[in-house]
Amino acid sequence: MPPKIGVYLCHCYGVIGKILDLEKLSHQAGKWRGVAVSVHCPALCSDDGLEVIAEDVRQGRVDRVVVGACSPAVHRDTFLRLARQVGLNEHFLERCNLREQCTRAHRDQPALAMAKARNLLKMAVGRLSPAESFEPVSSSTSRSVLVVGGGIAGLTAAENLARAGVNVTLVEKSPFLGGKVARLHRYYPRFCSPRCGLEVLMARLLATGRVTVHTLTEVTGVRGTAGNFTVELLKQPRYVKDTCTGCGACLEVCPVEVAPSAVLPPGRQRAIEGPGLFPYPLNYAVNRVFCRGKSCSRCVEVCPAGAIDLDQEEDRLRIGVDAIILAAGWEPYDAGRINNYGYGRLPGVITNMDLEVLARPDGPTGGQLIRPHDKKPVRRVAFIQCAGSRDKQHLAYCSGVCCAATLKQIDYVRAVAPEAGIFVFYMDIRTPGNLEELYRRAREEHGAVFIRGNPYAVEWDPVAEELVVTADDTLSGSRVAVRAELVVLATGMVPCAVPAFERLEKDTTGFITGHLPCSPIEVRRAGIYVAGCAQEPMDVSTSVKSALAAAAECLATIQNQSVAVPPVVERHKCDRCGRCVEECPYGACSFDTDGYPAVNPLACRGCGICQGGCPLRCIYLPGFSSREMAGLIEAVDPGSMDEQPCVLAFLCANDAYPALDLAGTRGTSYGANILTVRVPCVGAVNAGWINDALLSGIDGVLVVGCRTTECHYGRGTSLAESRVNNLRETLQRMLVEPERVQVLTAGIEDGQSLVAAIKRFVKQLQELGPNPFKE
Amino acid sequence: MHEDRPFREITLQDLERLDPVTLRTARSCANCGRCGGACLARIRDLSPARVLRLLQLGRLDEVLTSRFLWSCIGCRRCSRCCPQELDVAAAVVRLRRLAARHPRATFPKHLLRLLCG
Repeated sequence: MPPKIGVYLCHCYGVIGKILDLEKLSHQAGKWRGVAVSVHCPALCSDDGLEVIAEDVRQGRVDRVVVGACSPAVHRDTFLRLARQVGLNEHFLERCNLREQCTRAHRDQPALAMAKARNLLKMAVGRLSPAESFEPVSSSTSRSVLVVGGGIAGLTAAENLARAGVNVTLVEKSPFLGGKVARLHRYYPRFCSPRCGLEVLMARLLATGRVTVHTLTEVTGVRGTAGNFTVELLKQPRYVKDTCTGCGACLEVCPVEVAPSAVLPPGRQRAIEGPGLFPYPLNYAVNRVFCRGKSCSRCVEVCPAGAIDLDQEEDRLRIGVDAIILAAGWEPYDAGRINNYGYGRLPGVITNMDLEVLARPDGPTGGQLIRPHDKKPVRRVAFIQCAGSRDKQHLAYCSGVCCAATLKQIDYVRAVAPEAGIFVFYMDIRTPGNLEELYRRAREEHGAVFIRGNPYAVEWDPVAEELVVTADDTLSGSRVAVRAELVVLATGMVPCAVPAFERLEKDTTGFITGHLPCSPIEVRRAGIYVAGCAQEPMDVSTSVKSALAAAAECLATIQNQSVAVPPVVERHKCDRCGRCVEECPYGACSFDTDGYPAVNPLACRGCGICQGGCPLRCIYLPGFSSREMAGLIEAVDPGSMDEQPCVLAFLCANDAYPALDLAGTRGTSYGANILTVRVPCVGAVNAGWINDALLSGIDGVLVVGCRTTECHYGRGTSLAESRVNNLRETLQRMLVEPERVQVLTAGIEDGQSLVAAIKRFVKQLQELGPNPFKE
Repeated sequence: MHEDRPFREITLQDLERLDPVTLRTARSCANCGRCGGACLARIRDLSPARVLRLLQLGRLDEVLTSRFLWSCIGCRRCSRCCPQELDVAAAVVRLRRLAARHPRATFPKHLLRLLCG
């Protein structure tokens, strides 16, 4: 059935109508092939205006609509709502920019503005005639998610998703859940026990009945894409069966003592370990690294439930999930690498995390503040902030939480040693928001002495048997020394490495930060989300928030209420070269079982980079098929520009197109010989269109995108540049001057500089003369 | 007693006499003080850390007339321990060039004659 196109021109209450003769344009458009109705109205966005279009559609007089009015960047919702109300597919609605990029910018050239308007309308009609309609694709997913990491972020995300009805598999590398938080003595700001919050969380998680937990399990492989990941898991043997009652009889007989860290003595820890204060799971686990094995077997013999089985083997599992949340957490930076501070070498030098262990009543000193190696009471404690942080030789970044952690620990010290001297060597105290209260308390109530100077070294005085910390007190300009029994290094955080996810993009800190600030949670591989300290150093409150954010993003993806229409693949033309699969920034395009590209609607962001790179033009977004683009290019009349060079410009919707709109709105004038086409990303521009445009007599083609590092889709601009470079060779062989194509970049606010660049290009074209292919 | 001008105004024009590398070193310094603690040749409360701080405040004269510039023994502990990897030792030594010409330099005059003729 031939299309019935309605062309509607808007006076915009005179803004357009005073410069363009809309009666004349409307009359001309009415004569074009495919146009059934051609009218003009005072304001199309008004109720009356919209009703004109609506009535024509309802009565079947038109089935496709061209709106010649303001920029497509404005009144988006107005016309989308109209389309939905009358049942018009949104791909059958084409917007033509007669205001910001026409009358506003070409007030001083009304005749040329008319020519431009005529061209733009004809391009819209030419494109709309062969257009096809598309519906958003819903794919069915089983709604299951993998959460990697059983710390507070992983547990929070899992509980939230499970409550929303999603089946969650949670894997944790260590034998027990709770992560670092379960090992803290207290957390701020309330100084409550972390076990309390964790218990509440765990109870809610178990109540959902939708979380399957695998401890002692790692991810060894991930394949697939959003909506369809296949994950390989490796489960290490626990050596303890589910009949374990947690009685601890094995612990009493185990001969191997295990120290909690390199500098702390063994407390009650043995080669078989129990869950401690957060019993999830309750079952004990044998630490194979330290256990002496079957030759010892004392635990096996003494266990009343016969639960210990030293013959257990590892297990491998494979699961299919729709999405993955990576919440593998952090490790403290290795303080042993800071040579001058003597960690692991001098007695009494420990880290913040070591102090958490010491402070706990079930720790190696029973919660008393005594020096671990010789039990000497601690009368003076020196904290060294930024130990191995903000230092190019260690961690260049700031971990943000160590200041608050130390201030919290000063509270611990005061609680058990009211008379102890407390010194803090710092560079800056970073306690944003109400954490400032911790800083005030440390000074006012706990009487800690703050020395603004980063110590060069910590030394041992063998005569007095104490540590000596020296530093430059930058505030008074003198060198100071502090003698102490205990020195606590506030070390920074490093992310835990998960080998299966090694290839995810990280920033210079080594954390997986996503695309800041727009999408911090989702990484470039669609369907994978990061939560907690795997993303960046953060405190417990922020980890919880980040986990909830990840759960929300994750849920939005797997709800499969997709609104995106993925690109169409014309298999009969495709030669399976695979370029689209390779170039997709999101890994959304993959080979199906026949070797043809298939686009995952859950992962596709609609950038069109696949379309831009296809040598055969057989993959395209709605509106960009070969026939539609051919219709658009053929509709251009290159000779209608009154001796001016005719330029076809492709502008990206994110920065370039709005920049040019802005120039028009500000009244910046430029030549009306620039015909614009809006594309989702400059990477969506296919070299074939540029070729066709030049062959049809258009004098010059501009491809304008975001600045290279600012491209919203990552690599759009750099791909466009390399594609245009390759095209130049072809053009030379066709005896067309390669300078007739140019790639420009612009930020969304750079209307003026974009216009200046366009003018320079036009001048260059004037010097080159008309296109040899022009009639 | 009350001072006539209780605040010492920061004026940075003296810094134009500094070479660009020394200027950059002074600007990059975050005043952590580690080099000050490390220095073996501290004299009269002036140290590499203090020198950089004074430069940041534009107090070039105080630096150039100090004894500290000449007490540096070149052990380079300061440069080695700097968390910003600034070459503090080189800056101190470079300042000697300016200091030698200063009318109130603490550099022994008879040696200056030997060097400059």
